[in-house]
Amino acid sequence: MKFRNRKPKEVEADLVLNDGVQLSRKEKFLRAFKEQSGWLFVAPAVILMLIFTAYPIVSAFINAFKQDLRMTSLGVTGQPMYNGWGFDNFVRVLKGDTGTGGANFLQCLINTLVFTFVSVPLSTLLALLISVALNSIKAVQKAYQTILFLPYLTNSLAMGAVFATFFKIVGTQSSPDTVGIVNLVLGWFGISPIDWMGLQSPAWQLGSLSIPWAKYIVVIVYEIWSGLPFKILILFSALQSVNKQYYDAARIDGASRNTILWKITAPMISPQISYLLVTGIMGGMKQYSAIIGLFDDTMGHDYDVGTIVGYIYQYLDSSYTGYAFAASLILFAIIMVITAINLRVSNKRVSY
Amino acid sequence: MFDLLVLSSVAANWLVALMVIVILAEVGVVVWLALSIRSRKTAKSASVVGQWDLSAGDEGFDVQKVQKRERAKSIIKTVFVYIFLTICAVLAFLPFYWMVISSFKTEDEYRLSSPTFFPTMGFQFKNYTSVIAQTDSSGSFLQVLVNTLVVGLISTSLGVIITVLTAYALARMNFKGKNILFAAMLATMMIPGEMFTISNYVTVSTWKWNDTYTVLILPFLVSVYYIYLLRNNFMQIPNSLYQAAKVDGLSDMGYLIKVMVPLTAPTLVSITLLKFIGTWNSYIWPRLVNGTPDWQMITNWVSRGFTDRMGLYGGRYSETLDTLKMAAVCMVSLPLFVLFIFCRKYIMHGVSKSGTKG
Amino acid sequence: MRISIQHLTKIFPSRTKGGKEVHAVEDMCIEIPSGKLVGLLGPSGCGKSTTLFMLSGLENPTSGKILFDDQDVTTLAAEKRGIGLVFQNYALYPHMTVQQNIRFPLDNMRIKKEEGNARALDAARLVQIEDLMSRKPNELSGGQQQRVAIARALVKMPNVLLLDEPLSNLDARLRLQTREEIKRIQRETGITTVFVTHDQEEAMSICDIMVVMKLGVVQQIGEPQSIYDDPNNLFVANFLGTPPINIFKGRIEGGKVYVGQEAIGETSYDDREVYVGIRPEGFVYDAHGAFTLGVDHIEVMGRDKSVVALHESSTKPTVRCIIDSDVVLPHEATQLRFNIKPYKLFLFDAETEERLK
Repeated sequence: MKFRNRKPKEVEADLVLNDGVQLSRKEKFLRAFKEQSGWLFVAPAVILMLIFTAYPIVSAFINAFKQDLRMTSLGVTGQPMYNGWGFDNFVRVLKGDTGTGGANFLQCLINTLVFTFVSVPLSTLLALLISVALNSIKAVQKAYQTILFLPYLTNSLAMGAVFATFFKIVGTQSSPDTVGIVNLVLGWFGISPIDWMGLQSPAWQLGSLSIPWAKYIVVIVYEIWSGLPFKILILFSALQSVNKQYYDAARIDGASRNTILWKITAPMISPQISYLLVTGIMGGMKQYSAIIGLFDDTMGHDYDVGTIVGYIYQYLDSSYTGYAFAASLILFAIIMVITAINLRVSNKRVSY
Repeated sequence: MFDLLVLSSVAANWLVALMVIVILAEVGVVVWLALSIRSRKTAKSASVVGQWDLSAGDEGFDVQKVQKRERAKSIIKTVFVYIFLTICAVLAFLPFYWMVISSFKTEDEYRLSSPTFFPTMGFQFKNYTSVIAQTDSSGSFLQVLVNTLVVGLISTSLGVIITVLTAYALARMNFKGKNILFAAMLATMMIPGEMFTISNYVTVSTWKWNDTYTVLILPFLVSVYYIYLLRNNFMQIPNSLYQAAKVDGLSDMGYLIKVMVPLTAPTLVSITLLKFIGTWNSYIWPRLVNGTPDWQMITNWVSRGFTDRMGLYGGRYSETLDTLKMAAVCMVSLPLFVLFIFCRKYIMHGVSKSGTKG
Repeated sequence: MRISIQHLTKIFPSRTKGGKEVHAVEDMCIEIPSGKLVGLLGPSGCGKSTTLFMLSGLENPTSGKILFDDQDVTTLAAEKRGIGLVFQNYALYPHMTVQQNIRFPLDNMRIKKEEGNARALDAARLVQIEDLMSRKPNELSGGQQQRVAIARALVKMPNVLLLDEPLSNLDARLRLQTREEIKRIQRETGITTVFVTHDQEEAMSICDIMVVMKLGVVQQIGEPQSIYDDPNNLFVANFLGTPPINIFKGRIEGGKVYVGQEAIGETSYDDREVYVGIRPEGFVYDAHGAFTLGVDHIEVMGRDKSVVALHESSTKPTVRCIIDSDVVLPHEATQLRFNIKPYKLFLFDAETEERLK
């Protein structure tokens, strides 16, 4: 047996050697140091966060107001050059007047909103139905659960590329080699092949904007597929934790299966549903890599399926840093608005 | 190699089976709808409720009939549920299946006007060898694999250590400004990561950190969300354990390593796995800061176009080839699958934890 | 509604492979006349809740039949039986207000809103919670939740009301109050009511008919008082009454009942080993009584006093005798003698534990 803790002995020795003022000052310092030693534990995280989180927030707010901020032209200090202060970046971003022929902010905003507000509710609803179905069976439940969870652990660029092959027409436009699985299936119903992803992709014109609905469908199908597993996992485990007695009670009360689903089950797991909607919308507003996976770096034809984040990175890539900062602040504002709305709604809705 | 010509008929059967499933599902929906409407109509007459007056008769309470309908309904319902789940499972799995078989097909077969659901024209690994062998200006597979593993291992291990230390201090230790620090950390979770990314890009560019491992590791070491998760986990450990350990002469650090870490092992494993997966899938940051292909990560590599550089098809195809791309995609996805199979419990644990916090 | 339970059996398959299956209810036969309040009484695991759930339709019996007014409802789904069920922990829907909870069964019957509201209010009045209609369940006390659950069960005017341990989640004072309430509601509505409890006092105090069960087998059916006065076997005698009955090992010899060396009563049965059960109130103090007990201590309860005594033949550590408080006992006596009231003395066969009547 070892007694490794030597502290009491040391303190004792101190007491003998120095009495009075000397001791208490040293002791005070030691005690103060011990009390604040928590800072030692958090120091690495705090230092890293100061550099890579706190400073960037401040710098984003400052840089967004620097006109003509360009990464390509560095000044003598090694800092990027800029040309005075003002709201110029914001105005140009919102107006679509960046003078570089890059992505259009309004187009990207519309795309992002459409992708998010179509795919998130749809996949949440589908996940709810699947979870309820999964919860109602006994045999091979585990196997279904595992298969349905598979798409969670995927690389969105890789799987985006796989989805692209479902829709892509390979070969020349005039005499394609293969029209892709989706067109093949549609062909069974007498629908002629659609160029989902290429130059001939159908789109509606809305003033100067185009709404490439065929590409939207591709993105939304992918988003639903990739969003489902997480939602199923959350909802399924929520369903499993609902007390079975509520179902018994509802049966006694003569509720039909539909009534039970919408009046008992859904409200019972409403905290999880609202959590999924919120995180889904937050994630949707920031989506980017799936688009790259599906449509490559150009984000469709001339960025016509670009997203806000895609917009930011495109201008960062082309060194128009000022526009990127301005767009990121606009995104921040949009997310804040959504958060605020969500807080109000969820306070009302999910309160029991 | 395999003689798989027989399987073309199998592929046809597959399609037929798929169609049958779809049609059955539709029939299921129709029957279910019809039944639910009917039972709605008969609900009142079939039930025996609404009789305070106990002497009243029980007309319309034909037990036999009701039972028969109930049984039929429950069987149809079960069948319907299984069909629905099977379709969903097939659709969830289809992309993976397609990705694997495409990677083994020749480009010629891939381009058949009616796609085959199995490599009937020969099973070939050449797509893989070709993709691995492509060493050119867009970076080689081996180089990005090494990059990804080095960055993944370092940033995961350092990241977990930092997470543990921070979470411990926030959960168990008392120091001035702890609550403010924690609140500030949580607040940063609200801010979209892109805002950090842009500024960090400017920062590391001014510091001339481009094309290094450091730049891939440092900015993402701290993850507030995992700190939050682990802190909550630590908080659940009763304080009496801490006091007992103090009595037994353990220091704070000793207590952390010998008591807290083993007790929260499942969460730690989950965090480790998710952090590594995150590195494996990282794309935006490496592409931004490390312009040179040889300094990029595996996801950057897979997102490029693969052309027939190795001359598999004698120069007949000049554009990028999907079969090659699918081979690359398979190689990036395979490790994730292996991880999923062996660590399913921990990954699901970590993922579902994040869901129940809300 | 008349309920007839015929040879009802429920067997649960064993959880582990090769393990024993559980006979939760075995060959139960009960006739319940219309409009009665019936209590299923027994220790936990005796199958009383399983019986209740089979009556409700939430569990299917392995064999046997359940008839409601001569209609076979054995395999009829729960929602078609027209029953109301109050769950042990109430199972109120947490996201609905009290009013929505009560109205829920009516909504499912597609009853018009005004009528539904009116009936919900009626039901709420019946259980005196009409002031709480807009609250959510988690804003209510346990007793109030209980009433909401009863109102929800009653609002559809069920033919049968089933209550699963209705009082077990309430504190002692509420329990007394609520059991009176249940009795009153049952009288007012005249609904055939079956409830489950493990508390014999509760069952005795409000039941019209009591069913005592043990390990899935019905031990005795009857009015509470008659079961108390005339138990079928040792288990029933032991289970009913507080303080519980005193049991001694004894024997019959020549028409006399012996405990130890003392003859304390008479019987017409043949000689054999028996258990002798004496209710605590069956002791009458008599300085020359037939039965001698060693005194441990005396508890004064006000209304009466309770002699805690010892006897070597007792199957329990102490013997309890309740006597009137005005009976004067000798001061600091170490032994007291009693006579036994013959109708408070029960004899049980030592082997079968059946009552010798």
